[in-house]
Amino acid sequence: MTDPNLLILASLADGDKHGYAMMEDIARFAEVSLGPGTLYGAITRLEEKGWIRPVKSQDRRQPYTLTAAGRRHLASQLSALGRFVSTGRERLGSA
Amino acid sequence: MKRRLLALAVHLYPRAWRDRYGVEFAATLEDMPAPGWAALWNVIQGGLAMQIHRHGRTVATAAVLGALLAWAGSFAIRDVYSSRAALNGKVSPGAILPATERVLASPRFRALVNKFGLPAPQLKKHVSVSRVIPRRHGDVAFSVGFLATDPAVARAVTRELTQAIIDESGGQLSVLDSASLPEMPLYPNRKVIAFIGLLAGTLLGGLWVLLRSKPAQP
Repeated sequence: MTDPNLLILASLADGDKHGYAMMEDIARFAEVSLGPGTLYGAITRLEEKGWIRPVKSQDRRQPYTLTAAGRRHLASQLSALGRFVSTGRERLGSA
Repeated sequence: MKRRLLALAVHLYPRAWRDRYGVEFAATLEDMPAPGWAALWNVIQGGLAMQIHRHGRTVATAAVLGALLAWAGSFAIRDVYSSRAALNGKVSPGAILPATERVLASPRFRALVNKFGLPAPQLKKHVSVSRVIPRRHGDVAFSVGFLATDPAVARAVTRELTQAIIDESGGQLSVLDSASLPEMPLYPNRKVIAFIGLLAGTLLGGLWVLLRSKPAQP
C-alpha cells in the first residue's frame, strides 16, 4: 500500500496530525517513507476533495483532521482492500 | 546547504499554493532531522506536479489554441509548388551558371514571364540550379527548378527553362529527367507552422499564468 492519499487518511483516522507527524506515523505503521513534496501534494488534493481540513493552531505546524466524508471514503477503500486481500489469500490457499 | 536548496525549491510551487501552504510546508521541512537529496528531489517533483495540477489545463488550452490558430492562419499563405528537371551533357561545370544567367536575362525568358503572367521582379528568385555532379565519361548532371503557385505553371516554366538552357549550350546538354508535375506544395509546411503555434501558445499560456498569479501576501 503506497497510495499517499489513503496513507494520510489512515494516519489521521486516530487523531489530528501536522505534516511531519504524519510522515513519521506513516513510516511507522505502513513502513512507507513519504517525501515532503508527495505528502503536501496529497494534502492539497485531500483538502480540495473535502476529505481532510485544517484545524485551528497557533503553531506554524498546521494540524489536519479527517472530515466525515474522508472517514467514509477511508472506510470504503479499506473495505475494498479487505475484499481484495481475502480473495487473494483464498486463491493462494487453493492454488 | 540542502536546507537552502530546499527553501529555493519551494519557489517552484505556484504562488497561490505557497500563500496557502508555504508556512506549514516550511515548518515540515524544518522538522525533518536531516533532509537528503531524495527529499530535495521530492520537493522539486512536487512543485512541478503542482504547477501542472494548477495551471496545466490553462497552458494546454493556450497551446492547442496556438496550434489551431497557426494552422488556420497558414491557409492565408498561398501554396508554392516546385517542379524540377535534370539535365546532363559534356559541358564545363563552370559554364552552367553563366548559361542559366544568360537565359534568365534573355528576351525568351521575358516572353515566358508575359506568357504566364508571372511577377517579373521576383522571378529570378523562383529559379534554382542544383550543384553540378560529375558523371561517367566526362558528363556532368544538374537540375533546374522553378517555384510557382500553380503546379502546372511550375512544370511548364521548368520545361521551357530547360529547353532554353539546352539551346544556350549549343545542344551539348540533354534532358535526363523531364520537368516534374508537383503533387504536394513545397511550402507552407502546415505541420511545422502548427508546431510553432503550439510552442508559442505554450509560452504565452505560461506567461499569462505567471502574470495572473496573485502577489504573495506580506
